Amino acid sequence: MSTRRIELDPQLAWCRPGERLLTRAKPTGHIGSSVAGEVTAPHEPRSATPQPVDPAPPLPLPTASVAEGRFHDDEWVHDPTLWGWVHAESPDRLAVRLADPLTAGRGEVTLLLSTRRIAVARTHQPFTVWFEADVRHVTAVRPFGLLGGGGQREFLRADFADRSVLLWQVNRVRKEARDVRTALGL
Amino acid sequence: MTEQRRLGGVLALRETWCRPDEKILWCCDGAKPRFDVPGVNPDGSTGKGQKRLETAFAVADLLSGEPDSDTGVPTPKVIASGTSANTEAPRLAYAAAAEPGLWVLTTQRFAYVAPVPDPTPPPAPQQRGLLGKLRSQAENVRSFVSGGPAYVPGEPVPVRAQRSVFELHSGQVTATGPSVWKRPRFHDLEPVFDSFVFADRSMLSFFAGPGEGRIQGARQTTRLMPLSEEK
Repeated sequence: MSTRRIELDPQLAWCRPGERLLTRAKPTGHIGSSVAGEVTAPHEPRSATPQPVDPAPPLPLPTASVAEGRFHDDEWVHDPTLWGWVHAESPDRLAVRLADPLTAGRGEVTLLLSTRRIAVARTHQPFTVWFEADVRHVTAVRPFGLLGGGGQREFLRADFADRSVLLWQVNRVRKEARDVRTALGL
Repeated sequence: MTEQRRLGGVLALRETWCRPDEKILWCCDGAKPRFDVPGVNPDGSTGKGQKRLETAFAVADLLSGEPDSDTGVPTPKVIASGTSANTEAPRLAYAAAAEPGLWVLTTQRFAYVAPVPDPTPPPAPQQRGLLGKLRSQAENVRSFVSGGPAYVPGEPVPVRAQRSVFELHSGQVTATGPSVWKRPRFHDLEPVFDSFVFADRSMLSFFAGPGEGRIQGARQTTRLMPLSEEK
Protein backbone atom coordinates (compact mmCIF):
# COMPACT_ATOMS: atom_id res chain seq x y z
CA MET A 1 0.00 0.00 0.00
CA SER A 2 1.44 3.38 -0.90
CA THR A 3 1.24 6.13 1.66
CA ARG A 4 0.84 9.79 0.79
CA ARG A 5 4.09 11.53 1.67
CA ILE A 6 4.38 15.16 2.59
CA GLU A 7 7.55 16.77 1.27
CA LEU A 8 9.00 19.31 3.68
CA ASP A 9 10.97 22.39 2.67
CA PRO A 10 14.53 21.88 4.01
CA GLN A 11 14.94 25.64 4.38
CA LEU A 12 12.14 25.56 6.96
CA ALA A 13 12.55 22.06 8.38
CA TRP A 14 16.32 21.82 8.57
CA CYS A 15 18.07 25.18 8.30
CA ARG A 16 18.82 27.10 11.47
CA PRO A 17 18.41 30.85 11.84
CA GLY A 18 20.90 32.59 9.56
CA GLU A 19 21.52 29.42 7.54
CA ARG A 20 20.58 29.35 3.85
CA LEU A 21 19.92 26.32 1.69
CA LEU A 22 22.13 26.59 -1.42
CA THR A 23 21.28 23.51 -3.40
CA ARG A 24 19.44 20.21 -3.11
CA ALA A 25 19.43 17.12 -5.26
CA LYS A 26 17.49 13.89 -5.11
CA PRO A 27 19.27 10.83 -6.52
CA THR A 28 17.48 9.67 -9.64
CA GLY A 29 19.98 6.95 -10.48
CA HIS A 30 22.86 4.95 -9.11
CA ILE A 31 26.04 6.28 -7.59
CA GLY A 32 29.30 4.69 -8.65
CA SER A 33 32.47 4.78 -6.61
CA SER A 34 36.19 4.44 -6.83
CA VAL A 35 37.35 3.86 -3.27
CA ALA A 36 40.97 2.93 -2.58
CA GLY A 37 41.30 2.11 -6.27
CA GLU A 38 38.36 -0.28 -6.32
CA VAL A 39 35.53 0.60 -8.71
CA THR A 40 32.02 -0.35 -7.61
CA ALA A 41 28.99 0.53 -9.70
CA PRO A 42 26.45 0.69 -8.24
CA HIS A 43 28.17 1.82 -5.04
CA GLU A 44 27.69 -0.45 -2.05
CA PRO A 45 27.33 1.38 1.28
CA ARG A 46 30.28 0.81 3.59
CA SER A 47 28.73 2.23 6.75
CA ALA A 48 25.54 1.42 8.66
CA THR A 49 22.68 3.45 7.24
CA PRO A 50 18.96 3.65 8.04
CA GLN A 51 16.66 1.78 5.75
CA PRO A 52 14.10 3.64 3.64
CA VAL A 53 10.46 3.27 4.60
CA ASP A 54 9.37 3.12 0.99
CA PRO A 55 12.33 1.90 -1.14
CA ALA A 56 12.59 3.14 -4.70
CA PRO A 57 11.79 0.68 -7.49
CA PRO A 58 14.79 -1.10 -9.02
CA LEU A 59 16.71 0.63 -11.79
CA PRO A 60 18.52 -0.74 -14.80
CA LEU A 61 22.11 -1.60 -13.85
CA PRO A 62 25.19 0.21 -15.23
CA THR A 63 26.74 -1.00 -18.47
CA ALA A 64 29.09 -3.96 -18.13
CA SER A 65 32.22 -1.93 -18.85
CA VAL A 66 31.42 0.53 -16.04
CA ALA A 67 30.24 -2.13 -13.57
CA GLU A 68 33.41 -4.12 -14.15
CA GLY A 69 35.70 -1.10 -14.04
CA ARG A 70 36.75 -1.58 -17.66
CA PHE A 71 36.81 2.10 -18.59
CA HIS A 72 39.24 4.99 -18.66
CA ASP A 73 39.14 8.20 -16.69
CA ASP A 74 35.62 9.66 -16.47
CA GLU A 75 33.89 7.63 -19.19
CA TRP A 76 31.33 6.61 -16.55
CA VAL A 77 29.54 9.92 -17.19
CA HIS A 78 28.11 8.35 -20.36
CA ASP A 79 26.27 5.69 -18.37
CA PRO A 80 22.60 6.75 -18.26
CA THR A 81 21.97 4.86 -15.01
CA LEU A 82 24.51 6.87 -13.00
CA TRP A 83 23.44 9.95 -11.08
CA GLY A 84 26.72 10.41 -9.25
CA TRP A 85 30.23 9.22 -8.55
CA VAL A 86 32.61 9.17 -5.60
CA HIS A 87 36.40 9.20 -5.58
CA ALA A 88 38.06 8.49 -2.22
CA GLU A 89 41.24 7.02 -0.83
CA SER A 90 39.40 5.06 1.86
CA PRO A 91 35.81 4.27 2.93
CA ASP A 92 35.91 6.63 5.91
CA ARG A 93 36.25 9.72 3.70
CA LEU A 94 33.49 12.29 3.61
CA ALA A 95 32.37 11.66 0.03
CA VAL A 96 31.79 7.99 0.86
CA ARG A 97 29.94 8.89 4.09
CA LEU A 98 27.59 10.96 1.92
CA ALA A 99 27.30 8.36 -0.83
CA ASP A 100 26.33 5.60 1.62
CA PRO A 101 22.99 7.11 2.71
CA LEU A 102 22.36 8.53 -0.76
CA THR A 103 22.59 4.97 -2.05
CA ALA A 104 20.70 3.23 0.74
CA GLY A 105 17.91 5.79 0.81
CA ARG A 106 17.39 6.37 -2.90
CA GLY A 107 13.82 7.44 -3.45
CA GLU A 108 13.51 9.05 -0.05
CA VAL A 109 16.65 11.03 0.69
CA THR A 110 17.97 14.31 -0.66
CA LEU A 111 21.47 15.75 -0.73
CA LEU A 112 21.41 19.18 0.92
CA LEU A 113 24.08 21.85 0.84
CA SER A 114 23.65 24.97 2.94
CA THR A 115 25.84 27.84 4.02
CA ARG A 116 26.74 25.79 7.10
CA ARG A 117 26.28 22.08 6.40
CA ILE A 118 26.26 19.36 3.79
CA ALA A 119 23.81 16.59 4.58
CA VAL A 120 21.72 13.68 3.44
CA ALA A 121 18.21 13.82 4.83
CA ARG A 122 14.84 12.24 4.42
CA THR A 123 12.82 15.25 3.41
CA HIS A 124 9.42 13.66 3.86
CA GLN A 125 7.63 13.86 7.15
CA PRO A 126 9.10 13.05 9.62
CA PHE A 127 12.14 15.03 8.43
CA THR A 128 15.18 12.94 9.39
CA VAL A 129 18.85 13.74 8.92
CA TRP A 130 20.76 10.59 7.99
CA PHE A 131 24.20 12.19 7.85
CA GLU A 132 25.60 15.69 8.00
CA ALA A 133 28.95 17.44 8.13
CA ASP A 134 30.26 20.97 8.47
CA VAL A 135 30.31 22.72 5.09
CA ARG A 136 33.82 23.95 5.85
CA HIS A 137 34.99 20.47 4.73
CA VAL A 138 34.03 21.55 1.21
CA THR A 139 37.11 23.05 -0.41
CA ALA A 140 35.92 23.49 -3.99
CA VAL A 141 32.74 23.32 -6.05
CA ARG A 142 32.89 23.31 -9.82
CA PRO A 143 30.95 22.27 -12.88
CA PHE A 144 31.92 19.03 -14.51
CA GLY A 145 30.60 17.42 -17.64
CA LEU A 146 31.00 16.96 -21.30
CA LEU A 147 29.44 17.91 -24.54
CA GLY A 148 28.62 15.67 -27.44
CA GLY A 149 28.68 11.91 -27.74
CA GLY A 150 24.96 11.43 -27.28
CA GLY A 151 23.63 14.26 -25.22
CA GLN A 152 24.79 16.55 -22.52
CA ARG A 153 25.14 15.41 -18.93
CA GLU A 154 26.37 17.84 -16.35
CA PHE A 155 27.54 17.25 -12.81
CA LEU A 156 28.43 19.38 -9.84
CA ARG A 157 31.76 18.35 -8.34
CA ALA A 158 32.47 18.94 -4.64
CA ASP A 159 36.00 18.45 -3.36
CA PHE A 160 36.46 17.84 0.35
CA ALA A 161 39.38 18.57 2.66
CA ASP A 162 40.11 14.84 3.03
CA ARG A 163 40.78 14.69 -0.76
CA SER A 164 37.59 12.80 -1.48
CA VAL A 165 35.28 13.96 -4.26
CA LEU A 166 31.53 13.68 -4.81
CA LEU A 167 29.93 14.37 -8.19
CA TRP A 168 26.20 14.51 -8.74
CA GLN A 169 23.99 15.33 -11.68
CA VAL A 170 22.35 18.76 -11.80
CA ASN A 171 20.70 21.02 -14.30
CA ARG A 172 22.20 24.42 -15.08
CA VAL A 173 25.49 23.35 -13.58
CA ARG A 174 27.39 26.56 -14.23
CA LYS A 175 24.86 28.69 -12.36
CA GLU A 176 24.66 26.19 -9.48
CA ALA A 177 28.45 26.10 -9.14
CA ARG A 178 28.76 29.87 -9.32
CA ASP A 179 26.03 30.43 -6.73
CA VAL A 180 27.48 27.89 -4.29
CA ARG A 181 31.01 29.21 -4.67
CA THR A 182 29.86 32.76 -4.08
CA ALA A 183 27.86 31.83 -0.98
CA LEU A 184 30.68 29.76 0.51
CA GLY A 185 33.43 32.19 -0.49
CA LEU A 186 35.31 29.50 -2.44
CA MET B 1 7.38 -7.89 -27.48
CA THR B 2 9.23 -4.56 -27.73
CA GLU B 3 12.93 -4.63 -28.48
CA GLN B 4 15.12 -3.34 -25.67
CA ARG B 5 16.91 -0.05 -26.18
CA ARG B 6 20.70 -0.27 -26.62
CA LEU B 7 23.19 2.40 -25.70
CA GLY B 8 25.47 3.93 -28.34
CA GLY B 9 28.23 6.50 -27.91
CA VAL B 10 31.36 6.32 -25.82
CA LEU B 11 30.48 3.28 -23.69
CA ALA B 12 29.45 1.31 -26.78
CA LEU B 13 32.85 2.16 -28.26
CA ARG B 14 34.54 1.16 -25.03
CA GLU B 15 32.79 -2.17 -24.81
CA THR B 16 32.70 -3.28 -28.44
CA TRP B 17 35.33 -1.35 -30.38
CA CYS B 18 38.20 -0.04 -28.21
CA ARG B 19 41.19 -2.11 -27.23
CA PRO B 20 41.60 -2.32 -23.44
CA ASP B 21 44.51 0.12 -23.34
CA GLU B 22 43.02 2.51 -25.91
CA LYS B 23 41.88 5.86 -24.51
CA ILE B 24 39.15 7.83 -26.21
CA LEU B 25 40.45 11.38 -26.46
CA TRP B 26 37.66 13.04 -28.41
CA CYS B 27 34.49 12.12 -30.23
CA CYS B 28 31.73 13.87 -32.10
CA ASP B 29 28.50 12.91 -33.83
CA GLY B 30 28.64 12.56 -37.59
CA ALA B 31 26.84 15.19 -39.69
CA LYS B 32 26.53 16.25 -43.30
CA PRO B 33 29.85 17.92 -44.17
CA ARG B 34 30.47 21.24 -45.88
CA PHE B 35 33.28 21.10 -48.41
CA ASP B 36 35.77 23.96 -48.68
CA VAL B 37 37.66 22.45 -51.58
CA PRO B 38 38.52 24.06 -54.97
CA GLY B 39 36.31 22.60 -57.69
CA VAL B 40 33.87 21.13 -55.19
CA ASN B 41 30.59 22.77 -54.26
CA PRO B 42 29.94 23.25 -50.52
CA ASP B 43 27.42 20.40 -50.64
CA GLY B 44 30.03 18.02 -52.04
CA SER B 45 28.90 17.96 -55.67
CA THR B 46 31.58 18.63 -58.24
CA GLY B 47 29.88 20.29 -61.17
CA LYS B 48 27.11 22.66 -62.10
CA GLY B 49 23.79 20.91 -62.16
CA GLN B 50 25.26 17.72 -60.79
CA LYS B 51 23.17 15.71 -58.38
CA ARG B 52 23.87 16.60 -54.77
CA LEU B 53 25.89 14.35 -52.52
CA GLU B 54 23.61 11.68 -51.13
CA THR B 55 24.01 11.43 -47.38
CA ALA B 56 22.39 9.55 -44.57
CA PHE B 57 21.71 12.67 -42.53
CA ALA B 58 18.39 14.31 -41.88
CA VAL B 59 17.32 17.85 -42.72
CA ALA B 60 18.22 18.94 -39.18
CA ASP B 61 21.79 17.92 -39.86
CA LEU B 62 21.92 19.95 -43.05
CA LEU B 63 21.21 23.04 -40.99
CA SER B 64 23.95 22.16 -38.59
CA GLY B 65 25.15 24.66 -36.04
CA GLU B 66 23.41 27.90 -35.28
CA PRO B 67 22.19 30.17 -38.07
CA ASP B 68 23.99 33.43 -38.31
CA SER B 69 21.61 36.22 -37.29
CA ASP B 70 22.90 38.60 -39.97
CA THR B 71 23.37 36.39 -42.97
CA GLY B 72 21.14 33.46 -42.11
CA VAL B 73 24.00 31.17 -43.15
CA PRO B 74 24.00 28.15 -40.89
CA THR B 75 27.25 27.16 -39.28
CA PRO B 76 28.21 23.70 -40.51
CA LYS B 77 28.89 20.98 -37.98
CA VAL B 78 31.65 19.41 -40.08
CA ILE B 79 33.91 21.14 -42.62
CA ALA B 80 36.29 19.29 -44.90
CA SER B 81 38.96 21.47 -46.49
CA GLY B 82 41.83 20.64 -48.77
CA THR B 83 43.52 21.53 -52.04
CA SER B 84 41.56 18.91 -53.99
CA ALA B 85 38.82 16.33 -53.55
CA ASN B 86 41.50 13.64 -53.48
CA THR B 87 43.14 14.90 -50.32
CA GLU B 88 42.61 13.04 -47.06
CA ALA B 89 39.99 15.20 -45.33
CA PRO B 90 37.48 15.41 -48.23
CA ARG B 91 37.93 11.69 -48.93
CA LEU B 92 37.10 10.86 -45.30
CA ALA B 93 34.18 13.28 -45.29
CA TYR B 94 32.68 11.65 -48.39
CA ALA B 95 33.07 8.21 -46.81
CA ALA B 96 31.50 9.29 -43.52
CA ALA B 97 28.53 10.98 -45.18
CA ALA B 98 27.12 7.63 -46.20
CA GLU B 99 25.82 6.62 -42.76
CA PRO B 100 25.24 8.09 -39.30
CA GLY B 101 28.08 7.44 -36.88
CA LEU B 102 30.68 8.93 -34.58
CA TRP B 103 34.01 10.53 -35.37
CA VAL B 104 36.51 9.43 -32.76
CA LEU B 105 40.15 10.08 -31.88
CA THR B 106 41.82 7.63 -29.54
CA THR B 107 45.39 7.17 -28.43
CA GLN B 108 45.72 4.76 -31.35
CA ARG B 109 43.20 5.62 -34.07
CA PHE B 110 41.29 8.37 -35.83
CA ALA B 111 38.12 6.74 -37.10
CA TYR B 112 34.54 7.02 -38.16
CA VAL B 113 32.51 4.42 -36.33
CA ALA B 114 28.95 3.26 -36.93
CA PRO B 115 26.65 0.71 -35.34
CA VAL B 116 26.88 -2.85 -36.60
CA PRO B 117 23.72 -3.33 -38.67
CA ASP B 118 21.10 -5.51 -37.08
CA PRO B 119 20.35 -8.80 -38.80
CA THR B 120 17.14 -8.56 -40.75
CA PRO B 121 14.39 -9.29 -38.25
CA PRO B 122 11.90 -12.05 -39.04
CA PRO B 123 8.57 -10.67 -40.23
CA ALA B 124 6.36 -9.71 -37.31
CA PRO B 125 3.35 -11.95 -36.88
CA GLN B 126 0.28 -10.35 -38.37
CA GLN B 127 -1.91 -8.80 -35.68
CA ARG B 128 -5.31 -10.31 -36.23
CA GLY B 129 -8.52 -8.47 -35.67
CA LEU B 130 -9.28 -4.96 -34.46
CA LEU B 131 -7.97 -5.64 -30.92
CA GLY B 132 -4.64 -6.90 -32.28
CA LYS B 133 -4.22 -3.85 -34.51
CA LEU B 134 -5.06 -1.49 -31.65
CA ARG B 135 -2.55 -3.27 -29.40
CA SER B 136 0.16 -2.94 -32.05
CA GLN B 137 -0.59 0.76 -32.56
CA ALA B 138 -0.56 1.41 -28.80
CA GLU B 139 2.87 -0.24 -28.55
CA ASN B 140 4.21 2.00 -31.33
CA VAL B 141 2.80 5.13 -29.69
CA ARG B 142 4.20 4.14 -26.29
CA SER B 143 7.63 3.55 -27.79
CA PHE B 144 7.55 6.89 -29.64
CA VAL B 145 6.39 8.92 -26.63
CA SER B 146 8.98 7.43 -24.28
CA GLY B 147 11.82 7.91 -26.77
CA GLY B 148 12.06 4.21 -27.48
CA PRO B 149 11.90 1.06 -25.45
CA ALA B 150 13.21 1.38 -21.90
CA TYR B 151 16.20 -0.29 -20.30
CA VAL B 152 15.18 -3.24 -18.16
CA PRO B 153 15.32 -2.75 -14.35
CA GLY B 154 17.78 -5.09 -12.66
CA GLU B 155 19.70 -5.78 -15.86
CA PRO B 156 22.84 -4.07 -17.20
CA VAL B 157 22.19 -1.46 -19.88
CA PRO B 158 23.07 -3.18 -23.16
CA VAL B 159 25.25 -1.46 -25.72
CA ARG B 160 25.01 -1.50 -29.47
CA ALA B 161 28.04 -3.08 -31.17
CA GLN B 162 30.14 -0.64 -33.20
CA ARG B 163 32.40 -1.10 -36.22
CA SER B 164 34.88 1.08 -38.08
CA VAL B 165 33.59 2.59 -41.31
CA PHE B 166 37.23 3.60 -41.77
CA GLU B 167 40.15 4.19 -39.50
CA LEU B 168 43.62 5.70 -39.67
CA HIS B 169 46.51 5.34 -37.30
CA SER B 170 46.33 8.34 -34.99
CA GLY B 171 49.83 9.32 -36.13
CA GLN B 172 48.36 10.22 -39.52
CA VAL B 173 46.71 13.19 -37.81
CA THR B 174 49.63 15.60 -37.78
CA ALA B 175 48.04 18.33 -35.67
CA THR B 176 44.92 19.08 -33.66
CA GLY B 177 43.63 22.33 -32.29
CA PRO B 178 40.88 24.92 -32.32
CA SER B 179 40.13 26.84 -35.48
CA VAL B 180 37.68 29.62 -36.31
CA TRP B 181 35.33 29.65 -39.28
CA LYS B 182 35.48 33.15 -40.71
CA ARG B 183 32.11 34.45 -41.77
CA PRO B 184 31.53 37.41 -44.08
CA ARG B 185 30.95 39.93 -41.29
CA PHE B 186 32.43 40.55 -37.92
CA HIS B 187 30.96 38.66 -35.00
CA ASP B 188 31.69 38.76 -31.29
CA LEU B 189 31.69 35.00 -31.06
CA GLU B 190 33.08 33.33 -34.16
CA PRO B 191 32.17 29.66 -34.34
CA VAL B 192 35.08 27.59 -33.09
CA PHE B 193 35.90 24.15 -34.40
CA ASP B 194 37.98 21.24 -33.22
CA SER B 195 40.27 20.67 -36.18
CA PHE B 196 42.37 17.74 -37.34
CA VAL B 197 45.12 18.29 -39.88
CA PHE B 198 46.51 15.51 -42.06
CA ALA B 199 49.92 15.10 -43.71
CA ASP B 200 48.68 16.57 -47.01
CA ARG B 201 47.57 19.73 -45.10
CA SER B 202 43.89 18.93 -45.60
CA MET B 203 41.75 19.48 -42.53
CA LEU B 204 38.56 18.20 -40.92
CA SER B 205 36.86 20.63 -38.54
CA PHE B 206 33.99 19.91 -36.14
CA PHE B 207 31.77 22.62 -34.68
CA ALA B 208 32.54 22.99 -30.97
CA GLY B 209 30.49 26.07 -30.10
CA PRO B 210 30.45 29.85 -30.40
CA GLY B 211 33.82 30.97 -29.13
CA GLU B 212 34.50 27.74 -27.28
CA GLY B 213 36.86 25.07 -28.57
CA ARG B 214 37.16 21.75 -26.86
CA ILE B 215 40.64 21.10 -28.12
CA GLN B 216 43.10 23.46 -26.51
CA GLY B 217 45.92 23.08 -28.99
CA ALA B 218 47.57 20.16 -27.25
CA ARG B 219 48.42 16.98 -29.15
CA GLN B 220 46.87 14.90 -26.40
CA THR B 221 43.39 16.29 -26.20
CA THR B 222 40.38 15.09 -24.34
CA ARG B 223 36.75 14.94 -25.21
CA LEU B 224 36.10 14.49 -21.49
CA MET B 225 37.43 17.86 -20.54
CA PRO B 226 35.41 19.42 -17.70
CA LEU B 227 33.35 22.43 -18.57
CA SER B 228 35.37 25.59 -18.27
CA GLU B 229 35.07 27.10 -14.87
CA GLU B 230 33.32 30.42 -14.60
CA LYS B 231 34.60 32.77 -11.99
